[in-house]
Amino acid sequence: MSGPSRTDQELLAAHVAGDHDAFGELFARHRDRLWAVALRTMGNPEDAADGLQDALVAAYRRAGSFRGDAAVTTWLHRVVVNACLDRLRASAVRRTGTLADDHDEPLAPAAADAADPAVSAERSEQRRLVLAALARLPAEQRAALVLVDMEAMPVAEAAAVLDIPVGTLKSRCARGRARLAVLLRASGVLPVGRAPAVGGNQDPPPAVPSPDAPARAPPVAD
Amino acid sequence: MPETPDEELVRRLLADARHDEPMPADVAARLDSVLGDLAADGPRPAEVTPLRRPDRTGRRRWAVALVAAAAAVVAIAVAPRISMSPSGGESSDSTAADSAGGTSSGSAAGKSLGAAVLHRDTLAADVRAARRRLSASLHALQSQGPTELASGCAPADWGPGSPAPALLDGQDVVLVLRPPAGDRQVVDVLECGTARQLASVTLPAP
Repeated sequence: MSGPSRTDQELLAAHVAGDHDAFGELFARHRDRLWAVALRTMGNPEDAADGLQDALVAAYRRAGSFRGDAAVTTWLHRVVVNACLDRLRASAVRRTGTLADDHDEPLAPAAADAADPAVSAERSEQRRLVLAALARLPAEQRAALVLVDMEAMPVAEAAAVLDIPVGTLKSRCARGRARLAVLLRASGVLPVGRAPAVGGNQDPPPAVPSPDAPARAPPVAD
Repeated sequence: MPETPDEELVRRLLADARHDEPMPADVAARLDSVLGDLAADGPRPAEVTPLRRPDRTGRRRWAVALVAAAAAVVAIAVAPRISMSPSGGESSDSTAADSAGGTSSGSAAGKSLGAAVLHRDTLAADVRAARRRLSASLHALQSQGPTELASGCAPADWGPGSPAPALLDGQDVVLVLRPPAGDRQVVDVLECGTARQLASVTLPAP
């Protein structure tokens, strides 16, 4: 019954029809990317696991409402992002800086950095600061940037995931990046005083962590 | 609108911060367990709750509805054995067990409050299913105290949590859902009259 060649849509349909294994197979197929989205949206592994669990239950129970007008992965991402945003909205206190403090996942060095511990450490610190800055954004902007810039999801698909027009998504991303630039400049990840040239992928921006001058700007409204 | 150099840099930094590790094993195990719970709930995934979790009012309405539904089940089916197999589904099995003359017919106490039927050899799955089925009505039952909980089950101090009548291999027992601790919830099976622990199962918190 659970043939490995079944498509996502077939698995979802089988689940709705009562195949007890189908949903698990579907979820297992995509869980790593869904986890990544939840983790980056929520900012720490504990909240990400809670959000993903909410999403899993919602998707399992609402599978019958899937109309097939989007890819199953788009729908799954939508459920995950909505569950995460619900949790973030429900949080009474904004956990500013949580991600940086709770960020206990291993920061695996990029392959090119593996041979140079100094470069690896520098990039890990850079990532930490980027994630800390990301955590300071309003949740909706953060979710947009996670999908578009981190997950490299096409804009149209990300807009479908977030259930917003493409123009709104682009605007959200632009505002989020602008805000991040300010925060990253304050934390020393981006150089101060000049706009760096865009030179392709060869040189990452200098990572000059400034632990004594953390970003303190409040989140901006979406 | 063209991107500014800052935007381009930020995009690159974000891409570099993408999470590429697999889901941690403990999270995967937790979600697998949740999937097991969902499967044990029944085979009709499309008919349950809305995507957004209900607010307090909604939750109360659901609780009332579930209590009413549980009462209706008890009224309609006084004697059936509700066999909760590890794979889930309880509805079709009930009729089959009845017509086959199921052996764990239970005591009056167990029947009167719709006791969950537990078997030692499938205890974890039975308890998991029972928790789902009974969770809504347990809050109402808890306020009645141990004496009223099960008239054929001698009262005792069940300790903290929500007690409910159950049958363990045909014996009257009390199932107690302990208050969740973190992401876990202990469910104890206690002997009537003494509260001696007969079994205990740890489940993911609801």
